[in-house]
Amino acid sequence: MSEIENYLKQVRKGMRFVSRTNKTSFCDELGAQFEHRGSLPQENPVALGKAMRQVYGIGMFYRIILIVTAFPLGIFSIPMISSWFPGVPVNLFLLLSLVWVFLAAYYGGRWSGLFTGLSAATPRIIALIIFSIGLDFINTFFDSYEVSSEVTGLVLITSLLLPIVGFVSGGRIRRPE
Amino acid sequence: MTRKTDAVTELRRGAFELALLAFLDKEASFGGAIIDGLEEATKGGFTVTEGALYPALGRLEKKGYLEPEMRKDIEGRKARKYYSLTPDGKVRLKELKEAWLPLVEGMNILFMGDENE
Repeated sequence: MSEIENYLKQVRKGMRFVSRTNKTSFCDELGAQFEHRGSLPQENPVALGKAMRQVYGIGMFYRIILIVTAFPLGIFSIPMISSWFPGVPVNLFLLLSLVWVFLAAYYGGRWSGLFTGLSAATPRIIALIIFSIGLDFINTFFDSYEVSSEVTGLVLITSLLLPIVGFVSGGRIRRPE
Repeated sequence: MTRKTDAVTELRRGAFELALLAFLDKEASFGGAIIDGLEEATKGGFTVTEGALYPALGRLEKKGYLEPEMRKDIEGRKARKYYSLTPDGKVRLKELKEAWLPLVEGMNILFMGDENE
């Protein structure tokens, strides 16, 4: 393997999770520069790749994975679920959902943050509607099931915060220059 | 891990966008040529590394200030990505220039004293 091929391999490593198109385009650009200057870039290749990942963000495939996986995290973060499955650590799942939203916002930008937040919030909002409207129906299976207004309010606020946090933090995170 | 940035780095970073836009306003250019050309045009005042140049080009492209174009200058060689200013880029350059020039003038007076005094 030539030195430029080896260098580009390291750059690609730094650009992990970036779309193939962007990776190839940037490596071609560096290859053309090598051809022009006859010397390798002075920069550490992995660091250069990571800096470019901050510019391009992660690829669409990985953004979709974050959005899709946020949905089950949202389900397991519904507090009412602990009544049926007491072992489920709902707060931990809520925290994980928040981490997921931050990850999406940091690596994918504000729209990824927003959609990941919406995905995590959707099952929580649906649960809230079901428990608000269909409590009588639910109580035909479970005796005297109740949801306090505090829990309802908390679920509503945290659910609304997830997409908002994703959108706002995606635009405010200061990326390395 | 946080990166420590001093005042000099901050100053250079602030001026870099302006320098890049001003350089590319004269003629479209590609990565390697920008590194050499910018250093030459500023008589060594601006030495740029790939680690600063490419992310900056990427950001300016994303903001819509630069437009890339793939050109194959010489047959058998790799195509080069030439960057040129978009109309938005020209507006941005004008804005930065208008902010920069009085700043430099003011700082020069501060450093050397007003000759009229």
